[in-house]
Amino acid sequence: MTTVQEHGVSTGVLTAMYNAQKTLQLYPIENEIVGRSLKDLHDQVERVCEREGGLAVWVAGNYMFVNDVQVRLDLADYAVLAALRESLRTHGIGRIELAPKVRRDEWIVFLSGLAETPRPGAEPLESFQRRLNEADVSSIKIGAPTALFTGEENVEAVEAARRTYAYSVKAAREVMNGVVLGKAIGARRAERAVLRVVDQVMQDRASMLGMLTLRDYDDHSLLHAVNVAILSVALGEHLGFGRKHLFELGFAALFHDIGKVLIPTTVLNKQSWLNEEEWRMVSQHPDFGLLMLFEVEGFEEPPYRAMLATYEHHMKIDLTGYPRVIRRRRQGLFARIIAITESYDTAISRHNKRYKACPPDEAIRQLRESETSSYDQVLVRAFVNMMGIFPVSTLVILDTGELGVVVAPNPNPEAIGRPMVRIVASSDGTRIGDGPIRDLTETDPDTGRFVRSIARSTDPERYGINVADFVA
Amino acid sequence: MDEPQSLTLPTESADAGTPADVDVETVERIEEFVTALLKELKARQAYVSGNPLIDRFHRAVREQSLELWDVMPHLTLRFDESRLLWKDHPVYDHPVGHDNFAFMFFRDGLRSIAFLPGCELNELREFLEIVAAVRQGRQADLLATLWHRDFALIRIEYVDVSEDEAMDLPRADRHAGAGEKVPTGEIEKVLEAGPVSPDVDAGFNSLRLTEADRQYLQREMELELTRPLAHDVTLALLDQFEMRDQERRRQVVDILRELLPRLLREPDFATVAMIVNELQLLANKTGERDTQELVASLLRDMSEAMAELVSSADAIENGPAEDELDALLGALQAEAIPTLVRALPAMSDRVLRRQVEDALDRLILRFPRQVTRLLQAEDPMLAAEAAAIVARLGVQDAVDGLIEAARRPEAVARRAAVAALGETESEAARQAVLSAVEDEEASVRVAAVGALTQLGGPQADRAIRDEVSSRGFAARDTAEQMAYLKCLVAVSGEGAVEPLIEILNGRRWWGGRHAAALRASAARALAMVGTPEAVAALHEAEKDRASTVAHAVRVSLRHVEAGPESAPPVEGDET
Repeated sequence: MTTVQEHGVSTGVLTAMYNAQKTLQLYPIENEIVGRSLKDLHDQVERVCEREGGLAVWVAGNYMFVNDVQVRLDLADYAVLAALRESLRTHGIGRIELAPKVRRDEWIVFLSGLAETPRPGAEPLESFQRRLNEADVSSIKIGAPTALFTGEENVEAVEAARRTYAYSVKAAREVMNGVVLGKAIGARRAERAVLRVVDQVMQDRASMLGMLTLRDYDDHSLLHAVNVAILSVALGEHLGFGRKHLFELGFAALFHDIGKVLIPTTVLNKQSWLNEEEWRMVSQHPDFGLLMLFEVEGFEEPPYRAMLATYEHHMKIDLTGYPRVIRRRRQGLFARIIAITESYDTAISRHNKRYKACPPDEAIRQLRESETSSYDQVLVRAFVNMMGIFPVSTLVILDTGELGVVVAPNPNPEAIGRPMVRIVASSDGTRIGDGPIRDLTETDPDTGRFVRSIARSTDPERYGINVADFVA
Repeated sequence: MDEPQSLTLPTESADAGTPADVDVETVERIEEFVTALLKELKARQAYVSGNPLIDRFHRAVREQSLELWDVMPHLTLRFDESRLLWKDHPVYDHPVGHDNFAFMFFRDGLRSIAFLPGCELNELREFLEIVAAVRQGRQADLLATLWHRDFALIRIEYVDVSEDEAMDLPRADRHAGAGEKVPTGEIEKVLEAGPVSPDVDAGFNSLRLTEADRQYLQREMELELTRPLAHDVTLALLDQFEMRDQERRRQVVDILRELLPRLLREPDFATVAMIVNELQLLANKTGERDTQELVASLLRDMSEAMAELVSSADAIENGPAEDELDALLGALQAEAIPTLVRALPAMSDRVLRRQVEDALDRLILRFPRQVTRLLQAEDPMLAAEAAAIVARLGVQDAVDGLIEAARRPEAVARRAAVAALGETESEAARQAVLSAVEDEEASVRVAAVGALTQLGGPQADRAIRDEVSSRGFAARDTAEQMAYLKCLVAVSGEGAVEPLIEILNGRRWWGGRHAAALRASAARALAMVGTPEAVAALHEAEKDRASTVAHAVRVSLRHVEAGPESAPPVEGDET
């Protein structure tokens, strides 16, 4: 089968589907507006089918495909396509195959069904299929989502993530060293690092997030820069940013603390609390970062977005942070993303005795409970959705008495509290080297209850477990 | 229908076949496609964009593409150091070297490329432009450039070019501690509590993104992606300038010195206007001389560029708003003067021209020496414009410059300088003008006579009378003659009547009359004087046989009868 020729066609089909669903929700079936939207949908599908021989829509994680072509979410259609994706997910639908001539009544049944909430207790996909069968819908076939995480470790992805991480740390070091020596900031290696991070996140987000567990192998500031870049790109990808903007976000995040290079390490690494003068110095790092980024070479245009993100990332959403704001502005979206991801990475790392590192889930909880003036609460929710309540690398005690390390979020985005967990100690307390990966949404067929649930997270050091061994 | 396997490359066909099974004809088609690609690439390197030859080669590429899509759903090629391979079959093979097409990709880490149907419509062209640019050194990083372009129908795969990058990272050792027992105190407490309630999951529902959240995110993304980046960065710089010390201010100004030309090139009027306004305000607010000089030096450095921009504003589609233009014009320094003087005559938009002219006048009054220097500019047109401005504004210190300009080799400059000298009240100017009356160029002489009309004085009177009475006067052209006669009236007043009557009604040395045109001019000049004697002389000529003369006399008499407020009679007035 040939591939869809034009991106516009694939988003056109999906947008028409969403519009038709919406009009059915808002108007009676006989209404002219409903008729027009159904006709538009019919025409779009027919056009594709005539050229391609058929039409299939796939949902895999956050990705959507029409036939063989990944649908790229543009700004104009982000909300519409994200809403459609959610409707499909709610009903457990990951695949739709359409015959060239879907009858009007078949569309009505299908789209009306999408608009309804699944009955609690019932398996949503099965219920939906039953509904289609009862209405004699034969031109629309549905199926379960394609899982990007199959339950088996993707060794290749982990290796690729390791290489990307190491390359990124080297790039960050090159930049920082260059700055210290008073050289202009060469962007090429950093650019390559960021584009590799973007590609790796888009291919396998979990493997890249696993790299955050690699601590103490290099300078904290370098690791922090790379970690924040990874987290920010992951969140941007989760929000539906295209590649271009993911790159800008990643680049901004990589450089967000570059201004700290000008702060004496004795102050940065001070083990006790900073005095007023020291704090004044540290709080100028966004200012320094802004000015330093004008020295970046290798781009046609100055990296304005990175400059703004660097400058604004400590401002807080109500602008009561730092630097002080004189001329009216808003804290930009990229800066708000970086504020969250930086806070998270700082919370889970321990680079000096001033701060006690906390488990990843505790860091998530702190973000959830943060003041509304500090962080964008919608972005916090999006971040939590992406990372899960128990992010990758959290050591958890299951209610079966087993110990597990979270290795990936659950492929079902609804199950944010039920990640994929590798068992590292059995219920009798015996350490397991290469334990199985368990999906915490698995239920007992007899009772319908979850086989395993997370009772609480715990400190890996208490058990002598290096979580990086299982995710990085 | 197969699931998509990869987010980058499309799936290979199920019936791919082994290398031994590949169809020879298919291989040939691919080779032809690659050859056509390379020919178009060479053309792009050799010819300027838009050359019809490039289009010809591109048409060949399109034709080859269409033939490919007849037999395959997509074309995926691999790179090694010197070859392009399709299913291990070489379709391009040349010696290794910098010229080698495959090596170019391989060196940058690219390993595969897939062309999908439809790429020949637009993307393939752009792809080849990028490759050509890299080959010519106009772009440095092929991989990054292709990656950023993010083609929908041309997909690339690349590898890590450094094999040992991951060596530094600590290696996983999952089996460390395997078989050992872990402390169970905490775990036992958990088991005592029993299974976790499924209601816990419901508690997480509030964390799901709602439709309102998605709408919010869409709006925020739109705001972010349409943010005026340069403008907002500038706000940050200005904040830094305002709240930090002198050293920081210097840094900010240094940055703005690099940034402003870029903004001017775009052109981003709003941001430039904001910068100049704010900097001047801040400089005044601090009251510190160092800061004020810092800002002044920046504005001096930028003045010429800003003047260029302002001067061409009428040709720019989204020109500056009124307040933006005011800000830019108000910030200009002496360095802008030459640019504005040069640009002003060519400005077509009247309103803009007026504003620029006002701004120029203000600048000249602040920096008169700048404009006098222009009188010696290499460009004679510039010097002439400068002279006109000097005259208009009455720049007093410019007399010496004007006198010098009146001796320039270019007539256009001399003429303007001489005319400008007429606006001054200076003996030196008068002498220079008197000299210019003998200039070899008629237009300069006319300008000189015009200047004498302004300057007046006994020397002027004598010089004009002598000339008008001379035999050579009749040989001058009409315009020059009229200029002289007007000047005569202006400097001599009633004393002009006698020589004028002599021209109108008298006879020349050989007994004949003066040329009709000259006599007509004399009639007009007599009307300007308007004494009874002048009027009588006009009446005498009323029935002159030369119709030109008679007509001019009649018009002149009407003027006299109408009174001194009426406009003086001009040539060609038939009424």
